[in-house]
Amino acid sequence: MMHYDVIVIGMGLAGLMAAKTAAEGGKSVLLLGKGVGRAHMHTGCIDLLGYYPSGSSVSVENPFEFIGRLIEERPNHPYARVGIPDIRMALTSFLGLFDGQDYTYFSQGKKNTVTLTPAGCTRTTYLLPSTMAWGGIEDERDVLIVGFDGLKDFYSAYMAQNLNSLGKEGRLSFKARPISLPLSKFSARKTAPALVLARFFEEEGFRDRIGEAVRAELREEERVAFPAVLGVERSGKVRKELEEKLGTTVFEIPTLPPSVPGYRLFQAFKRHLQRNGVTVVMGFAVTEALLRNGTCSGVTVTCPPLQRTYSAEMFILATGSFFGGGLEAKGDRAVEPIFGLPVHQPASRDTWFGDRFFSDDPHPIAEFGVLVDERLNPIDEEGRAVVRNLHVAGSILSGSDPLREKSGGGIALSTGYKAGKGEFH
Amino acid sequence: MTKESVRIEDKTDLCIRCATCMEFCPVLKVTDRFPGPKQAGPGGQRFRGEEVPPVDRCVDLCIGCSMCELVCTSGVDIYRLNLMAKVKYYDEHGIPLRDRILANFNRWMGRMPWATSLVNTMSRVPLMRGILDRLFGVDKRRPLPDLQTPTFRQWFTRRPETHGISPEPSANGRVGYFYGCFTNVGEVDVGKSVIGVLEHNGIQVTVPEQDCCGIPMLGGGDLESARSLAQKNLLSLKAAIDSGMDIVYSSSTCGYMIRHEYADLFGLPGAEEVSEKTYDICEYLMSLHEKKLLKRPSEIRARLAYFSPCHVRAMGVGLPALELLKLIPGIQVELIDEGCCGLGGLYGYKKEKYEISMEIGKDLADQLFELKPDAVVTDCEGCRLQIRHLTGMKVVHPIQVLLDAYLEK
Amino acid sequence: MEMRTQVVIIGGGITGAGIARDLAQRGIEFILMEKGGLANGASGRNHGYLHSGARYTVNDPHAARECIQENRILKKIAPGCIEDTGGLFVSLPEDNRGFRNQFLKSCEEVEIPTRCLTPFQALELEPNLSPDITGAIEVPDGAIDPFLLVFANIEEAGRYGEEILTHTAVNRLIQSRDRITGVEASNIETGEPFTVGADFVINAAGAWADRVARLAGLSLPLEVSKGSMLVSNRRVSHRVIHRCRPPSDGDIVVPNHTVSILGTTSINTGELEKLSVEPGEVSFLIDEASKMLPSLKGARFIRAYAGVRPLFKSDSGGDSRELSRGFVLLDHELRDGVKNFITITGGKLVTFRLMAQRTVDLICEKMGREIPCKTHITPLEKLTRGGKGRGEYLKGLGQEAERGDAEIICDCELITRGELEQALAGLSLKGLREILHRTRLGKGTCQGAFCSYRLLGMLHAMGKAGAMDSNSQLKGFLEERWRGVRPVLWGDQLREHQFIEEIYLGILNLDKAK
Repeated sequence: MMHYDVIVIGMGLAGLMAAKTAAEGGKSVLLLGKGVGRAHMHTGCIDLLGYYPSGSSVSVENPFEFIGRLIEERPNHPYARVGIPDIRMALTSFLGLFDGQDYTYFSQGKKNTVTLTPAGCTRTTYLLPSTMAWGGIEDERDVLIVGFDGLKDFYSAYMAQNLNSLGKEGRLSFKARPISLPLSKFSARKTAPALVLARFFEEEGFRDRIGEAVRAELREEERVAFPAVLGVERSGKVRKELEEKLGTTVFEIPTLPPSVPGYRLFQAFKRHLQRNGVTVVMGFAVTEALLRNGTCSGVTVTCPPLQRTYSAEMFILATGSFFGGGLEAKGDRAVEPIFGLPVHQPASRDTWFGDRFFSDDPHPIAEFGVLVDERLNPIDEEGRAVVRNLHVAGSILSGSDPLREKSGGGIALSTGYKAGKGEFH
Repeated sequence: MTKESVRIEDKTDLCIRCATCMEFCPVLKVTDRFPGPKQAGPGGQRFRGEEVPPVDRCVDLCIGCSMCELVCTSGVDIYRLNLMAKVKYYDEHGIPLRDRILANFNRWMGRMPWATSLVNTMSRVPLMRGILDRLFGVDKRRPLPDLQTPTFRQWFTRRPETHGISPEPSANGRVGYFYGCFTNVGEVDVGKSVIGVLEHNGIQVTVPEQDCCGIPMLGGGDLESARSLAQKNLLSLKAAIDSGMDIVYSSSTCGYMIRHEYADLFGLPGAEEVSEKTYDICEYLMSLHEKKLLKRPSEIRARLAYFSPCHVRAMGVGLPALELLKLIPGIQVELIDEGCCGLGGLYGYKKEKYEISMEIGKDLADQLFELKPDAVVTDCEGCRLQIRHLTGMKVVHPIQVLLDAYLEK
Repeated sequence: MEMRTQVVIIGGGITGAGIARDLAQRGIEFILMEKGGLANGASGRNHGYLHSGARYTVNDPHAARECIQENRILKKIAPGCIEDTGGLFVSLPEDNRGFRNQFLKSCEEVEIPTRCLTPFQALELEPNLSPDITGAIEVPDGAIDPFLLVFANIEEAGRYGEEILTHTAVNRLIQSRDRITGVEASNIETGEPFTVGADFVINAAGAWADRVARLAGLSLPLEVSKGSMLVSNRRVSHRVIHRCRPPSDGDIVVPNHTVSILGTTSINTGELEKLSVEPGEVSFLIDEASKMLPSLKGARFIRAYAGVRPLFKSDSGGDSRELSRGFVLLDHELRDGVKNFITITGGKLVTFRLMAQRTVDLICEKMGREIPCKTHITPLEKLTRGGKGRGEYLKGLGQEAERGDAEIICDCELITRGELEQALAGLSLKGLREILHRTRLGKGTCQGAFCSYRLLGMLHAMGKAGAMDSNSQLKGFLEERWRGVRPVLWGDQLREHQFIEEIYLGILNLDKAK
């Protein structure tokens, strides 16, 4: 089929959410993505707002309160374009993906949750998968951290040492002890990527062997932490069974990417979309948008050597920032390559970055992005509409500093939701 | 292999080491003997050079599903890099006899239909399978498909034969059908179903001169043989297009080769024009449907599972087979749009790869056992063979379901 | 605390390392002090270029002759850190044919073997060369790993913590009347001061030589010149590629395993540390190099770095490139009336062994002993076997399962756990940087963004991390890395950067971890 009501470009969280929302509004939807998006590059948690102002080193306890403040003080921020009611609706819609399953997402209502990172420090987030439920720092029970020799990006000894240093400074009230299991002893492989290890966990025999080995190492710990590899399709069940075997609470800690919880999230979205009639075409870049008189009539996807043109009434651009390819930095300028939308940016490349990698002030480049009005329609620096039947969502938007304020997931879901609801005027 | 044989734009620089491809690779899922697409492709490419001899034999374990390219958000042509490393390796070390024979088998059998019953008999003799296994490295656990006579081509040229449907007068144009060597000798009914459905919808079908599309050779690293077959096929296909026809194919693998690799890999003249007029049969029928020219199928009550073949996903046309199945009243379709069946064309026949092949398909088999469909539907003959071997379930091409729906009164 | 030895060497770069080895071989006791890690200065920030001397034949035949002789010696005694790539001097239409002829003649005179190639032949060998070249001349250049060379010399000469003292600053040269009798030093980390009495003190402090001389109330006419280099993600040529014209900035591209290094500039500076590469230098280097290798124009660069070279101003003027690249051995007894103090300065990486030989010969002369030098005929223990070439890494790609130690830690450069464990054996670790110098870890596309984390994790798992504050180490490493990647952040490199930020800020939240 070549004609749809809505075409969404971008397979990240914002695009997935936009497609979901549009489909639920009764529209026929085509979702295009150059690759598999970026959901699996993050932790699988949804960060709403971790720090405000973004350079602050004290994390926010009540994100909605601070989002309110942010909306007042920073009217160009994507959250200001969406508004708190729609942010809440977006989160509710997201949670609906997991209705009736034993793997769900949870939050602490008004509060953020502070949890652990694979570097043995802490991070603040809002929505977490249920498999990470018992990993909060308020829990005072000691933890046994299980790593695997052969799983490259998770090191239990490293984490434990750093967590215990935090403990010595009085910032944590539990102790951590590391063990590392050699993968070759429990499977036919010496090394495995995270997703493969997660599949092993879906086998009962493997779980039994791991359970036995960990149980033998347990001392007084009442919590056991695994890297986030507890299953792919049946993670809730996998976690529960391990708990029963070990007689302790079990939780997952996110690993470096690619992340299994992120993958689970992507799969949940994709399956839901396909079940609801959304056409998903993955693996090909949109190379051109057909524009006339400020309206888009179609987009061209290049599947070499063919150019396929799809038409629609409305378009949603959720192609990401530089990482996703939604913005490109060529020579001295940043451009948006599909629609040629104006990109908000400082004048010269010399000023794009600060002197330090870690700095309290954002790198100026973080503010780059497409400007939009309250309907998420793209505008230029003078506020004039650029393409009438286009909505823009996600990290391509200007006005936020998601990496320092820890708001990426929230911005993606809420702007994706709003864009998906949008009508063509 | 001369530098002019292929058009390569080396996109290694695009790789940002995110390792997404590693998570989706079916081979890496089951064995760590394969370094994975990131390393075999752009990673290894940084080490390769004119002065560096091709010693990376492990790239041979790539199954050719091209999932890596589809999931890569940076646009790296990972599979292509791996393939070219494989070609270079075999250029230097020579293509094994076994691989040459396997690649040409269906093609040769298509020309020697008189030898069919002999071959079928021999392939069932355990001693023969033992010899093939020991001496040639064709795993004896892999069932060899029964060859059929007459071949599809023979059947088509000796027609008229009706299916019990009266062919409508040719109101809706002409197509040329590229059947592929496996349909020709191994699944003639698929070809017959294509003809039946097209004619029922008022389309005149011809069968242009054609040889093997070349993908079995390409998969084994034999670029030159694949390229000569491509040139040959293009002559005939281009002539067909120039006479005003569209081309349709029912084998998604042949389709991928003709529509994508002939132009993108070989850069052969005429390939782009041919690509523009070549369609997957389901895609073609859906376009008829959009023009309101597709006859309405009758109701069939069935619960089916549709598995999207890697090469359909890699064509970027969406899942037209799924859309087509949904047009049939009474059909319930469960979609399985992830993973690789594991056959990989000739890959799963080879002794050193049989177990990898079966392990890869295990997830799909588990999903199907849980779903318990009345039948499994998929466009790729390789997937059909593999799913039958893994599950024993009935597996058909979508066109066969549609034909059944037309035949229902 | 008081220590006593025969010779104190100040400076842990290649010169100091070479001197240490020569002294050890001749049975003379020494203590070497370096204020940072080994190869802290120019030795760790150069082009990795094994001169044939061809670059100097026209202007400085004496230096050229030294180069070709040492080139041959190094290929014999240290093959393990050398890739014998060969080099090409390419001519473009605008280049002076007169210079080319002079070049050939001068090479012949100093006995540097050359071979003339037609453009067709040159392009056959190096397909990425510009199709506009009018010819090329082949010379016996190579690529060399200066870190391995430094470590090999040092580890043959002495033991860390005993004769080899890193992170140790010399604060004062102890003088008694007209002679130097020792040094006052302190451990940088603990601040603990100590003295070392010595018969001789050698100033091999490279760009810091003047600062060291001032500790004895002396000064040296040293000019310090910054040279910047760019590293491309892909290796664009097999050989070293030069422009066949009078040596100037930006006219050399040196291959280094999987990358190519473009260089260099020469900017006078007073700054010895915290060097940064300016945007103007970046565009200049790309523009110049792409004249010879056009694909560099749109290429991806992964790092920019700068080093400082000391140039000794013998009493003539001239711009910094004109000053002699030959080395200078200063006997301060003759020059300044201060006994037992020698400075060795100038020179190139390739002539380090000769510089060390001359220095130690002088020491022996002053001791009144005649001990012959053998460094030119004894192979360096750790570098006898050829280095692992790209083909071997490629072969090793699929062997992860077979070899238990083959788990790949650095995905970009295919460095295995086994290799790392070997490199770490017997070392007391002062931080990531030292480890990174011993292997190619972190030298590839991601510039250590992933393997630094893995390396720290591995150290913890091996129980070798001690009380190291790993997150500080990691953050420190990332800041250091930032200085190198910042000048080349556009296109794909910028995408990579955002990905790295996602990991370290988004997932690990390291920016908020104090």
